[in-house]
Amino acid sequence: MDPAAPFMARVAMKARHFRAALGWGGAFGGGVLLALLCACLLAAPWVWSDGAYDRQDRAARHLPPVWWPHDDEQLDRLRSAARERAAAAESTLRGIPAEALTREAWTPSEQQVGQAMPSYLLGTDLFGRDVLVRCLAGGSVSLAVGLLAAGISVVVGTLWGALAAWRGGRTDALLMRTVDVLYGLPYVLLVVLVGVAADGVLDRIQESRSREARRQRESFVAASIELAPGDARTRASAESQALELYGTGALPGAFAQSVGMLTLAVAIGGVSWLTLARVVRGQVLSLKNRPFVEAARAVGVGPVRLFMRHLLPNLAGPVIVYATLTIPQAMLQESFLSFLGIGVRPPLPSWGNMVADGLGELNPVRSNWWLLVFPCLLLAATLLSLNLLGESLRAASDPRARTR
Amino acid sequence: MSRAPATPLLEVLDLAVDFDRRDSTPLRAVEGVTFRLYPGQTLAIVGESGSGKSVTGLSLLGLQSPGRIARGRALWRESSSHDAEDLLSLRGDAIRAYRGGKIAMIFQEPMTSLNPVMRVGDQIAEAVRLHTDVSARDARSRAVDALAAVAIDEPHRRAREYPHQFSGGMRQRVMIAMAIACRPRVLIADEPTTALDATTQAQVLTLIDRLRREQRVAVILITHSLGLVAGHADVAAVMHSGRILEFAPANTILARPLHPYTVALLRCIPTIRGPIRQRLTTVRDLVRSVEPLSPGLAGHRPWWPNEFHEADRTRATVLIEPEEHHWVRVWADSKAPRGDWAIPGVQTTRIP
Repeated sequence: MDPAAPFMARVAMKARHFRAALGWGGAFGGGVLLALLCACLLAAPWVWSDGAYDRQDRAARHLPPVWWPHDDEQLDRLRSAARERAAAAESTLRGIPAEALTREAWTPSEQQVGQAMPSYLLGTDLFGRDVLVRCLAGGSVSLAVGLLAAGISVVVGTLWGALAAWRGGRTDALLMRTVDVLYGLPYVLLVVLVGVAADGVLDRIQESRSREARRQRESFVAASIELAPGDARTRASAESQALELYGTGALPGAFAQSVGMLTLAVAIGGVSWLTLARVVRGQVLSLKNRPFVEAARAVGVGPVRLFMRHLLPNLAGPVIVYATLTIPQAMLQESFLSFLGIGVRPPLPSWGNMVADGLGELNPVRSNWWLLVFPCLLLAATLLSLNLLGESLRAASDPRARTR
Repeated sequence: MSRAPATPLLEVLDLAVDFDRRDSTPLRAVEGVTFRLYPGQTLAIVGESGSGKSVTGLSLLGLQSPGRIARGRALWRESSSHDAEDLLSLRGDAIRAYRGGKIAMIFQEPMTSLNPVMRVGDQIAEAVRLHTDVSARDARSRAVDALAAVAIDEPHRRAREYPHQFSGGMRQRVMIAMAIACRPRVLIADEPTTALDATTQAQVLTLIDRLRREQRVAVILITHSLGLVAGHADVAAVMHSGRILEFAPANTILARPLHPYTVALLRCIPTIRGPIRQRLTTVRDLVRSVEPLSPGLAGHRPWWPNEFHEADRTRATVLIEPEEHHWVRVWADSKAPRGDWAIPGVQTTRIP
């Protein structure tokens, strides 16, 4: 085909022959990725609502996957978990508190225990949390951070590089030397710096909020005491009333978690746009001397429109390819940082901190291998499929590679 | 010959363009170019590579960058009742209104002059919307009309296609469609047929000719081929080293060239009837051999840049008009007219 054809048109044409367009690697990558994404998205409502990813069942801790042979000790734990569940079911059925059952020395029948036998597809961890649920939740955290970071890096990198090449001269020198300097900084340091800065801001907000709440509570209490002086019970009741009205001013946990994730994405995105800026700069340098740019000028297209409508769309090919390869890179960095304990913070799961936990549980007596293997497998499959997909997109966009 | 309106549409006066060099004095790419262009007329600017003909065309639209206008004016007169506007002094939106609106330009490389990721119809419609106050839908229908006007089959379908789906000749016709969609008064065609094969060349030139006739568009045809002058130009200017050497109606310049360079160029064209196995002579040799002749110049010495007599370096050159409507650049001397320079320009157009 005509090598001058635009990238997207080439991909579209080739997509009619899907195998030829992306090859088996791309098809496999796309398939695995799609399956994982679907699983995470479909699971999202029940994983995230009322914190299912952090629901603990102490009796059921350290259980292997349900399809794995259990030893006696594990079977004991399984049965004790089942007994507890059966008791809980009985107490709700009869409408009496669990302590009442204990007092009358109620024991579940064999049938009740069998029914209440928990089945964890991928086993449970130290706190009796479902590994499958945590894997799905961790996957969506990892994907979200990866996508967000890649998005940030694409936007910043494209604009930065394009602006440098378009303006040329001093602007170019200034922007690209900045890139060189940032290249020299270790990115872990940057991520930690951004994280600490965000924490500082959060702390300050938290502090001012709780100070404000305390002030309101105190004035409320003072006003109540003035209204009914001498009553001994006034103070305590006014205080509890004030607490109900104004709260402690603590930020909701979900807010802090989202801010943490956002910070991580910004930090990773903020260090991974550098290469893209260089790639885009090179592209724009060659594009801006192409005759169609001058032809567009000659029909009266202004500089802004020229940049937005004529130049940027021509960058779509390399940018899309690069973005596809940036997502796995960002996800890997997220996992790596979480593994080190400076990324996603528990109890929020991420494949990285789950791997770190699993590694800590590994010991010669009890391997507890499922805590390590499943997050690792999922992470590897995702990275592999994204890399295959990006690589075949890159191959499809390379005119020289299409003579096979 | 017919009498066109007495006002020239465009009057270029003493245009000079410099290109700055890093470690040297600026390079003067265009020096003292002066001519008049009348509506409905095709002016061919003929010259070899680097003679400054393209820069002259680009300067009119303010696109000479990185070149710099050193001096000169380009006066635009919409009609005799309008005041003249100097194109070279316009900046920003003012000059952008001319680009593509009143003065359209066609470039040499049709293969690369269209944006590869924009549909052809959208590119034409964009040009229309930039210069006329029409809705997106109307602009699109005008784009389709323009494609039909340049004889592209199934214009509705082709407007939705991308440039790589067109052949070279078709792309050049698309460029022309884009140029005419806003109904410009002047069309600058910068070597429009150089990259095309002979058949397609003829189609494109016929198309430009038809526009000139039907819409009274004035055409500046920049070319290095004297063959185009014969069939497609009303007046011709021969350029070398950034200066106009000779300016005359096309017939005159082909039949009675006065400047040795023009004579040499014409002699370089191989003819079918000439002697067999004769070596084609180079222009440089020919200019030397022809130079002492020049009977029509009445004693003036024709200007030629390859002469580097010490005395010539500081000598001025001047355009003289030895016969009516025929200008030649000669070395200035006592016999030359002084005070003002002649402005070449002839109000001739071919009858349709």
